[in-house]
Amino acid sequence: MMKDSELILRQKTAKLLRAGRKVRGINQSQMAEILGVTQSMISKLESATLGPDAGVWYHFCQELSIDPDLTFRSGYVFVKGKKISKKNLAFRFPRNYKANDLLVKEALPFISLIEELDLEQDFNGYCIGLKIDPDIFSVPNLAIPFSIFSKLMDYIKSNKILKQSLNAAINFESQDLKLTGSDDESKIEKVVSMIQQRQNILSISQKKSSIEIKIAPDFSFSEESEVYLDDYFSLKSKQIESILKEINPTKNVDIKVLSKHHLQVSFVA
Amino acid sequence: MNTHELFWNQLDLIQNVLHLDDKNFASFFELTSSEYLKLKSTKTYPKVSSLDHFCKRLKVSQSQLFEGDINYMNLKERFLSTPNELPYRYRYGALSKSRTIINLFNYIETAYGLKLKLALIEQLGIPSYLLDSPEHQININLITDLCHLLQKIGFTKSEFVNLGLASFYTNYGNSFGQYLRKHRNIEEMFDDLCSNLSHEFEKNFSYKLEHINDNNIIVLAKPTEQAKELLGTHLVGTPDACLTKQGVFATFPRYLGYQYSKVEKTHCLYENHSLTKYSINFY
Repeated sequence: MMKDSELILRQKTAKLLRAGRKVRGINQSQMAEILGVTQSMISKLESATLGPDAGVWYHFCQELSIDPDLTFRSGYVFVKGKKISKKNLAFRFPRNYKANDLLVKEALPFISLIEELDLEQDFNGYCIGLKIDPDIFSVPNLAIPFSIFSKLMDYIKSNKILKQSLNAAINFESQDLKLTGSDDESKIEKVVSMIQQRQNILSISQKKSSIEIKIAPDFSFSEESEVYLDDYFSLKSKQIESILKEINPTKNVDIKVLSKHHLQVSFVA
Repeated sequence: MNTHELFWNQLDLIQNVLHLDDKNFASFFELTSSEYLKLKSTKTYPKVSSLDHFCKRLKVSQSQLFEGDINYMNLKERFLSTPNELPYRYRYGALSKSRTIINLFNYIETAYGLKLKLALIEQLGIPSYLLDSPEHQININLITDLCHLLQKIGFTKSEFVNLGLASFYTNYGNSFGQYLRKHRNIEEMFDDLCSNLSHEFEKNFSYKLEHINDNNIIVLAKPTEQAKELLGTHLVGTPDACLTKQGVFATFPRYLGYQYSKVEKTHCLYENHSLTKYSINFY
């Protein structure tokens, strides 16, 4: 009988083999030809019925110019940007998803958390239900529409355990702030830094008694993207708000939404 | 010799160099001796998961096995060292402190998740204790190897600068951050950093202030003679590690409540200059 760990490893490599093939924009028969095996073998490898031998794996990694060890250990296909030709990709996206605004790697902390909490299968089912290919999340340098990112945020918000974990992480960091920040100024200093580093905020500027946070770049989004972005911005704003509340400075914190993705945080004595 | 023969030839050579019997050698693949001998007799490749165990145990890469690129002296040294020992490459000429590597891994975990951080730690073959304290001595090779891996997985120039910027978050609450915050102004801080502090936390480079005024400071960074001699090169570090340093320089005014500074590299050791020159503009 197969051990659980063996099955997990097969599933992991199956996902990487599928993702790598889709990055190359080829079907199973073409991949079989490249690797010198049968199409049925590729099908078995991609469905985790079989695990790849080291020779097939090495050949696969060479074909994609990726590191065999790091790919296996990280579970990500790190193909460099120029190697990903968008028109040839074989990933499934819903037809109405057009703009490619974000790289998958922006989502990696969330994907990593989903896996740590053993929610991968559930998340894959959620993606398939939305006609999003879950294998895209194995390719960090792949550009995806904001709308997909927004769906990922929806999933996190809808899942109690994930939401709690994210909040716990924020609380933990806030506790750390309480311990290390001796006065309001140093707490605010640190919170500025923390928001910048932890929230993937694109720009943050500090003025005398306020900080301005831009959650998205200053280019205009298509109307379609704007709709999907709402959830993403509101989640980010809530995270920032909870960090600020947790540090509990003696000054009042006032958060103004200047535009959908532009916040002003003021500290009032 | 084809790849298949080369691969098995490498395994035979490794087994002989390390004087291991089949049982012990098979255990590196997490296989029994009979399972291993069956593969060997039919020259069948092991499963990738088995090979990964082997590679982790002997700190070799799959590519080295398939391409016949094994340094047997290094292999023997790694095999004879205790499992929790820092590889020799990162142990000799240890002129850096572990604080830089801790900062880099903190950023990687925050921005890209725990999974990638752990995979990179495994790939470098470093023991976990190294990340427990910022005061461990390490060879700069560890920083350059990590930067090389990050570059291989598509890190952009701005991501390398971000790695340096993140040092503010790592250092803010520790003794180094507290020390920096005690300075009265940016000029005083840089003067102290270059004349007194730099050799406290790294001995690979010496730093000198070339110019200083109200909103601009120029810092010269030159590899020390000790580093050049121990590392056997005048090109200490890498261009990517240089970008990270650019990010670290940008953080210093932040400790005194100013914005991140804008740092430009006007001369670079890796562009045929004798030193690297950083121009730091602050507001």
